[in-house]
This record gives sequence, C-alpha cells and structure tokens, in this order.
Amino acid sequence: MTAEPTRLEPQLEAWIGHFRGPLVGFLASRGATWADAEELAMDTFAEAWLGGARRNAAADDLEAIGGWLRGIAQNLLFAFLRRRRRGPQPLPADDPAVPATPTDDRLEPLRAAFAELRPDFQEVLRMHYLEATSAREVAALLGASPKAVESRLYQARRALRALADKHLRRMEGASR
Amino acid sequence: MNTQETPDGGEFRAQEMVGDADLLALFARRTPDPQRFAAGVAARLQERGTDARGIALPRAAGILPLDLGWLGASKLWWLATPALLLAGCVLAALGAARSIQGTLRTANMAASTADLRRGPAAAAQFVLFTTMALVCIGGLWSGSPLVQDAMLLTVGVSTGVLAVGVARCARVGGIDRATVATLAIAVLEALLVLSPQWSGSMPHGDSEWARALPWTLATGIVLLLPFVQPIARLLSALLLGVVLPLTAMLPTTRMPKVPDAFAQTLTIAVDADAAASWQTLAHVAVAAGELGGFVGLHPSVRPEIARAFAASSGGSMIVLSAAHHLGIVDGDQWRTAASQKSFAYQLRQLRTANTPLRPHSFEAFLLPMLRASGDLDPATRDRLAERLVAGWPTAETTFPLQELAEIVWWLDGIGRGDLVDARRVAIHTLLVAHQAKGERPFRGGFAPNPRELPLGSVDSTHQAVALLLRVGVPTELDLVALRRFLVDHGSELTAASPEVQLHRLATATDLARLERMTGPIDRAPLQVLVDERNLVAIAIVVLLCWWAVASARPQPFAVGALP
Repeated sequence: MTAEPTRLEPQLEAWIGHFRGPLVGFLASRGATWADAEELAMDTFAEAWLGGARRNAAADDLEAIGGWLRGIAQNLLFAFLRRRRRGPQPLPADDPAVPATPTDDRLEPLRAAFAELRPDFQEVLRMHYLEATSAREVAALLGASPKAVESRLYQARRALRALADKHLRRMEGASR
Repeated sequence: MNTQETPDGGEFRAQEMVGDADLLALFARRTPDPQRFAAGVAARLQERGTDARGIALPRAAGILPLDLGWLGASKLWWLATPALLLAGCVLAALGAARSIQGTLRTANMAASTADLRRGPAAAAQFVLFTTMALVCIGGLWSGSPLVQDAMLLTVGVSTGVLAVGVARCARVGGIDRATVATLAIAVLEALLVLSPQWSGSMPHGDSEWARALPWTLATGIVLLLPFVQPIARLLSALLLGVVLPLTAMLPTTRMPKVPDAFAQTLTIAVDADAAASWQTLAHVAVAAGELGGFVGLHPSVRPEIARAFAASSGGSMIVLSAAHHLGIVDGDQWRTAASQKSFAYQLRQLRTANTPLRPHSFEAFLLPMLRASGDLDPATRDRLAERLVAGWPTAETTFPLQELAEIVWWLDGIGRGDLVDARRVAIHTLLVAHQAKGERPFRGGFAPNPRELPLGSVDSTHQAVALLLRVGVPTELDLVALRRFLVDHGSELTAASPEVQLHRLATATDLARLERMTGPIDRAPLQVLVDERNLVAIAIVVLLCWWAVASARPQPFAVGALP
C-alpha cells in the first residue's frame, strides 16, 4: 500500500515544480549541505506562500516569484548558517536526501572535476541539473537573464570537460 | 557515462562525458523526492497555519533593492540608510549603476531592479529613500556645524551598523569580498566628495588636522581597490583622481615654517606706498633677527629708505619707522635727518610738550633720532615717561591695546621699563579683557575694541603678542585659543601673493616667538579628540570598512555541497 500524495494548492505546486531543483541547488551552493538545502527550500516555499506572494505576483510571472524566493531563501540560509556557526556542531547524520543506491564509480572523474570548478560554475550546474530545469527558472532565482545563465552553463560545461579530461588522463596513467 | 577508448591508443575522451544525461546522472542521488518534498512543505504550512507573524523579514527581503535582511529583525538596517544613500548618490552620479549591478550579479548577489519597481511598498520605500537622501545632503551643505556634526555622527553610526552587518553576512559566506569592497569604496568616495564641508578652510569647528581628512579617505579607498572588480576599480580610481585634487587642494593652507620661510619672504620687494607692508616687513625682520633666520632684504628696500630720508612726507615716516626696526640705519644718518627742519620740529614738540603722549607706530623713527641727536637726557627721559604714563589707556580709550603697545615700546625705548613692570597686572587685565571669546576664526585673537566688536584682529593680536612677550602670559589667558587663531591666520594659501605671504609670516612669527617663551602650546588630549571629531569619525568609518572587507571571504559560497 502506497501513501497518498500530499495535496497542495495548485499554484504552490506549480511554484515547487518550477523552482524545487534550482532552489535546492542554490542553497547547496552557499554553505548548506544537501539535506539542509532541501529543508531550507521547504521552509522557503512555506514562508513564501504564507508571506502573501500569491497576492503580489501572477502565478506565471517566474521572474517575480524567483526574486521573491531568492530573498527569502537567502535570509533563511544566513540565519541557519549563523545558528550553525554559533552552536555546537552536530554529529554527521545520515543524509535523508541520499537514496541507498550505490554510487556509480564511472562518474568519479566527473565528480572530481566538478569539485575543482569555480564556485559560480558549480552553482549554475547544481541549479540546472539537480532536476531537469530550464534556464529560465535558474535565471529567475539568480536575478540574471536566461541568456546569461545559458552562457554560464556553456562555460561551466566547457570548464568541466577540460577538468574531466585531465582526471581521465591521470586515471589512465595510474592504471598503466 | 560515455567514456570510451580511442581507436589509436586507448585514450579516454571527455567530450561526450559532460552531456546533459551525464550531468543529470551526476546529481541523480541528490535529486529531491517530489512526494517527500511536497509533504515537507505541507507539514510546514500546517504547523504554521496562516499566522503571518515572523514573516516580516522574508517579506522585506523580497522588496528591498539590496539584500539587507541579514541585518536582522531588529530593523537596525534603517540606521545604515544614510551610508547607503551616500553610496547610491555617488554611484548614480557616475552612471555606474549598471556596472555595479553587473558586478553584483557576477558575485551572485543580484539586486534585481525589477524587485524595486514592483509593488506599492517598494514605491513607498523608494520615495522614502529619496527624501532621506535630500534631507541628508541638504543638511550637509547647510553650513550649520551642528547639522554637520549630527550628520557625521549618523553616517558614522550607520556605516558602523552596515559594516557589522556586512561582516556578519560575509563571515558565513553570504557576500563576497569584492562586493563588500565595492560598497565600502562607494561609501568612502561619497564621504570624500562631501569632505570639503568638514575639512573646509576654517569656517566651523576647531580642527587643526582637517587637511588629513581627504587623505585618510583616499588612503582607505586606495587600499580597498585591489579587492574590487576591474570595472569598479577603474571607476573608483577615476573618481578618486578627479575628486581628491579638488578636495585635498582646496584647503591647502599651511603654516609657514619659521624661520625657514624668512628666506623666501624677506627678500620680496615691498611696495613703497603700502604702509602695512613696511610695518609687516619690520615686524618680520625683528622676529627674524630674534629667531636667527635673517637672510637679508630685497635690493629695493634700501633705496626706498634712502628716498624716505631725502623726502620727509607723511608716507616716508612709515618707511623710516620700519627702517629703525630693521636696524639698517646708523647713528650718523639719524643725526643728519634730525637736523632737517620738519623732523627738528617734531623732536622739539616731543621734548617740550606737557600733554599726555600717545605715540603712533609710524612715529617710532623719532626715538632713534632723539637718541642720535643727544637730546634724550635724564630730564627729557623723565618728562617723556610722565607724558607716556599720562597717556595710559583708560576705559574710554577707543583702541587701548594699540596705544598701550606703543607706550610700552616707548617706555622701554627710553630706558623706563621699570614703569612697565610696575603696571604688569594692569596690562595682564587689559590683555585678558581683549581676547576674543566668539566663534572661530575670530576667537582667541585680540579685539581692538571688544566693547564695539568682540572679534579678534590680526593687527591687534600682533600688538598683544608683543605685550605678552614683554610682560609674560597671564594665567587667565586662553593660550590654546590664541595659538589656534595664529595658526588659522598664519596659514598661507597656496599660490598667495608675496605680500599675503609676508602678512601670514608675520602671524606665524608671533606664534614662533610666543612658543619660544612659553614652550609648545598643546591642547589637552580630550580637547584634541573633541576638536578633531570629524577626523576621528572618518578614521573609524575607514577602519570599519576595512574590517568589513577583511571579514568577507574571497568567494561567497566556496563551500558548496558536492554531488
């Protein structure tokens, strides 16, 4: 027997559909772990909904909603980071966002290359590829134009490719 | 993943490895579960209900032009408003708003102007910002010292709040160092533009180090330039290059270095008809001789004196008196001159009259003539002394300080300094009564007639200093205020005419001679802090800006989670 899907207001569901992935990626790029980023993203949607965004912006105005969510998310993130910085550090817990599936070892060179990318390239990749999201939503969250996001994605992929190539060569050298 | 071997040697290729599918696979294990996510949001909504409390900050974050929410729910960010306004004014004036926005966007701290334009709350906020900017700038330029102090305090406090907020935010990686530095430079350059109001030539306040103010700001800006984006660096450097010369050069008054300055000013040509210049030249020459800096006179001076001996017009009396003070006329020359008809008449009047004697400064030449002609016998001496004492200033005297200075000089000149010593207390009382108590730049100097106009004048202060050197400094006299008056009026403007330089030098020599007698006249440390409050406030603002920049991380979110 499967649990019944949670029903939310259609407009809120639409927002979540558009921004869930980019927003988690955005928060994970700024100091939150994946698990914390997901929790903070949930908080952000709840705050935005309760804060009356539904009254101030049209449901299809992604730029407006994106700017609204970004502002709330940043404030929640900063408050969270301050709390974390002040308080005792909890022991590492199981990351609920990570499924128990084994990691794909073939992705290791890519993962290593990603770790060496510039932070702004990492961010745009996280936001875009965490879920299959269009550049428009990413742009709305970053306060940039979709063209600028596409350009940054292109540069990020190119940089990632170069780094991955380097790692592949290194691995190939080690295997010989 | 599309790793594969190439046909020629088993090389791995990455070209196909970073396609969309691979990147989606890379993040697949981090992808939120839609059902669990929706349940989480629903749980939060249920938990908080429709209670709108606690959402003011997120709401504000959605409409503020900059992300100021990190300043906290205490609304302290309102205090930071003036500093932000000043920054905004400069940025707008430069037309650099777009560049700055681009810089912010690069740092992923986007300030979407769309947010600002949207909604009635944002419009009201924009109006409020603009109104406050007008009030702030209007107050700064109103010229009122009280308003200036209040505004500087506001700017200082608000910049402090801003710096603390930025530092808090930056330490957790919320804002990068380049953005903080850009904001800090904008604040400092705004203050630099306005700094002439605080470092002005001398209209208000008691600062003696005001010249350091624009340089303090400039130093702060220059040290922050390496941290900003190239475009912001270029614009900031350009603005600094334009504004600094204007602000730093405006008040470039400087106290002449005594006795070094004698070498430049004593050798200037003096206008034969300018009485004040001859008196001033004599004044400076006496000081130069006393302070060991006499370097000789301009070649035109001696011919003018020779012409004055040949003629005997009223104007030449001033030159002759100056010649006596300069000490460049020998006894024979005075004796010869004394035999001339016009001078002989004046000397006879001086010896025989019984009326109170109140000599003028331009009659000083009569004393060496009297000595050289052999007429200054003890009886004449006593008679002159009686007349001089009889001419001692009273309550009804119009310019008592000026007359007293001449009487004292004559009494000393005829060898009756004992009469001056006997009246030391009375002279002290007169000096204290004549020291101006009003506002700068007239405070601390000596007023010729305090009953009529209680403002210090340079001429009266020359005479008062001569008296102070003769009878000592009364304890009631405000030496610090006198020093400030002499500094203000002795500081010469850049590219001033030689005559102006000479007059400034005369005032500077007064201070040098006074400090030679009393020792350095220093302000109390607390007084220094109060007087230099503008500079202290600016220095604190600069330090706060540096602290905020130093607190920021080079990259705002270098600790992003890995897939």
